Amino acid sequence: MAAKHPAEIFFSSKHPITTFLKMQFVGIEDEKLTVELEAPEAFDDGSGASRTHSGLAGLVLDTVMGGAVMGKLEKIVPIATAGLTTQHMRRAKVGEKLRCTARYQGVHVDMAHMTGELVSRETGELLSIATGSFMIGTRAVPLGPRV
Amino acid sequence: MTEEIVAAGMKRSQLLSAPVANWQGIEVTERPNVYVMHYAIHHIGNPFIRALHGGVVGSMMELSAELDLARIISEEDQVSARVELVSSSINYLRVTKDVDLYARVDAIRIARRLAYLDVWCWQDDEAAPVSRGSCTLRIFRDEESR
Repeated sequence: MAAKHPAEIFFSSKHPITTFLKMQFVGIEDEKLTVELEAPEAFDDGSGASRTHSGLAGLVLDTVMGGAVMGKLEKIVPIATAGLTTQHMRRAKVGEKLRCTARYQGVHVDMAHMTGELVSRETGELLSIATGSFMIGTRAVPLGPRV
Repeated sequence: MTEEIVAAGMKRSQLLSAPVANWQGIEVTERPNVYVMHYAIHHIGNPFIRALHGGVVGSMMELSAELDLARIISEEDQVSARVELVSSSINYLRVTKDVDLYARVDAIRIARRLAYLDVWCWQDDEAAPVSRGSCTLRIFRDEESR
């Protein structure tokens, strides 16, 4: 049996966010990671239109871009988001099936640069786009010694 | 007056009772433009160092910007309007930890259809921010259909 890709391991782990969002690893090809999920009711924006808040898109894009960075690493080390820019076209409807892709653009020293997009799985409509920069091998120490 | 009107034809208090605000655990503080996100386990991004997820921090900043724009519109214009985030750019300045997160919103420019707000976040010390963000928001006023 073929070994799982590191990104697949990341998205099938018991990480609080990936578990909550029920993210499903689809595949990784040509340095592009694809994950699918449904827009959760917990992110309903309260407008009465059954739409999710744009924060969901940012959360998903940050997670998938970070997962794609993890998938590029030769050994697992902590990473941290250094910068995140998102643009929103339409808010996902509650329960809407979504597909998020993240593309690895390059790395310079210990900074990985990513792009991502979130689309409606059924129509292909583009909902949000993002760029993110991630520090590989964060030097943050565990909470215990820090407090 | 502050809570009376607001965004989306929505009051700020309505936004604060939305499911997303509940998931975030966000509330207004004694300072009208400062919001707090009460820590919850599902906010964790890095379980090893127990840092908050960057996307959760970003989401909290976007929601804070919307809440504060809603407050400002209701106070200054006395009209109902819906506000919606168009874009955000966030810098993560320091590592976070598993405690409450505060956000201060500074309105830079509020025009008829667009607003630009900066958001600064901190945990222990306001003078040592953990993130900053620039948000662009669209304002849909009552007379404007979408």
